Amino acid sequence: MSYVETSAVTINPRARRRRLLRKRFLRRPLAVAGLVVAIGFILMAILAPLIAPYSPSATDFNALLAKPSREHLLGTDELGRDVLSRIIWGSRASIEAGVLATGLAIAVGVPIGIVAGYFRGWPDTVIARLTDVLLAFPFLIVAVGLAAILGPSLTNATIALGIGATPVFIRIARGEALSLREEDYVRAAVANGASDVRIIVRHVVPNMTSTLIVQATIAIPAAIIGEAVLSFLGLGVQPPTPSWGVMLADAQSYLSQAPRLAVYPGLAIFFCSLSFNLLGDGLRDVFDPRTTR
Amino acid sequence: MGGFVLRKAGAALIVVFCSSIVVFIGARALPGGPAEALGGENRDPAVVAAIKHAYGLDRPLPVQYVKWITHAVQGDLGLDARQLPVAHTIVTRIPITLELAFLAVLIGTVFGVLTGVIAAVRRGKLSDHAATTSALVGLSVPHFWLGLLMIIVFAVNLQWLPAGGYVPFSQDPIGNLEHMVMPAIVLGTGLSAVLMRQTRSAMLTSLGADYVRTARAKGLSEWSVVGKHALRNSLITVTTVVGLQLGALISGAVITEQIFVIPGFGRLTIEAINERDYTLLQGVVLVAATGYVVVNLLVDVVYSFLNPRIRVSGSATP
Repeated sequence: MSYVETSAVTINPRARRRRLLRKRFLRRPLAVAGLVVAIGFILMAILAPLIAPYSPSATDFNALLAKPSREHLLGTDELGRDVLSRIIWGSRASIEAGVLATGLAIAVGVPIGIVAGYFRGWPDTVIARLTDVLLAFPFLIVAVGLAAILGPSLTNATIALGIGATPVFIRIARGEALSLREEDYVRAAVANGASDVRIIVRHVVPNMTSTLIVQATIAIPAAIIGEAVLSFLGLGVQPPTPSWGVMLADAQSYLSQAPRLAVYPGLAIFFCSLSFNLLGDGLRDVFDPRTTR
Repeated sequence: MGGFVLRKAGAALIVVFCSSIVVFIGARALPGGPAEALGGENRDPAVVAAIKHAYGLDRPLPVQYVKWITHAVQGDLGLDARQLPVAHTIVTRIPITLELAFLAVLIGTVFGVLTGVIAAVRRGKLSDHAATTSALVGLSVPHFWLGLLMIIVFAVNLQWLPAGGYVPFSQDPIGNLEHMVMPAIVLGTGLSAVLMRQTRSAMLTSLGADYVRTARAKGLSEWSVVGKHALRNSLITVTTVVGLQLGALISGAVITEQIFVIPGFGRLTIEAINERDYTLLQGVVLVAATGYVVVNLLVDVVYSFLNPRIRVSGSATP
């Protein structure tokens, strides 16, 4: 060993980078607010049975289309069900669809994209063309078509949304793998005799995580809105299970009598997707190497 | 230049061909199956078999595909469940959606580019923050909810505009626009939000460029510096973004037409799915995918005109 060990003073570079990123993130109040609200929605979905004041399906025929009051903070719907409780329970469908669909898209898209970008050659050509074909179909058309094929349910809507979001992840992972494989440290690893699997696991995947995280914060709100749209069209969550999209579809018949029924679920969708968008914007800045602050 | 267009067109043709296969297989994966759907309540195996034979559904899939695609290329997409020619139905529905999309792009572009330019010129000022925030809101708001809110405010409460429906422009131009203004705003919101962000960042880049400093040094008016020099170069971004947003626009049209009861192409798609009308569905999706690919091809070509570097580097790499 010709160099002097200084490990006692220098901190592990990964830990240092993590600390720098955290510091940058905390300097962005909107991003922090987005993270807090997003976590709030996730907790709301998990703790729904504990925090909802009523059962989402409990009907009160003495209070049909009731205005907001002390008993029913956001009023009741056409069957006398508590709107607040239904919104709290409805977050389950939205969060489930948003997170699981994005997870599915990552699990399917990223390995395919890495194979295409890392190994190139004919698999790359085939995969790139197939991705082009899939991207030729608008996201919602794919999701609506798949939901129709699979049959209407939350699980199938989630699968449809996940498949619809997959091509974007394939494209991103492919692009990242294409450029990462040319990096000096990958060449060094090759020279050291590292196997392809080891290079992918140790060098390629860790270096594309920030891009994937940012894309995930774009994909989650898209899937949340997608779930609402599919449920609104009758291709997602089936009544009486509460979902924000189903609530909006039901509210359509009462736009003149009780417009608030169409306002609250929409606000929930809006704030949920806004929180993830704020988080994503913040993370994009934080991960951007040109960011100095 | 010719080579560039030809190569792009060839790639587009391959994409359309592959999508036609995806569409064909997808339509056959619908539950119930086309013959059962056509038979309606009649589940007699003999009837189903007769229907299958009449429509050639008992032939092998590749044979069915070749028959369908050769007819489709000649503009014949077959008959739907009501025995109406699919191509004719699509041709009557498309202009309605095109009008909606045109108005939405118009509203989205004018509003998005204008606010983007203002935000960039007045960077860090109140108007910049207002524009950036409204873009974020425009991106997060679910369009169909925005549509419902607009119906509540402008149709139910103020009664300024009709809540839904459609009047052909040729019959009643003013009535047509009254029906179209809310859907077009709803559909244009997402586009204008994306455009605002992209225009702002493109303008910030070009406002810092040397040629803008030169233009200022020449003593040109601020108006001509911003309008002629900076904006013109930012328009490349605008073209690309509008092209990229077309998929979102088609998806948006489906739900917008559903809410405002507009008998366009998007509503036709939902009708085809709900009625399990597979001939109609495969025609609709094939036309949508083809249209999308063709428009993207046009965007690529326009883009290469605006930015010659693309053409040169595009022909250097295969």
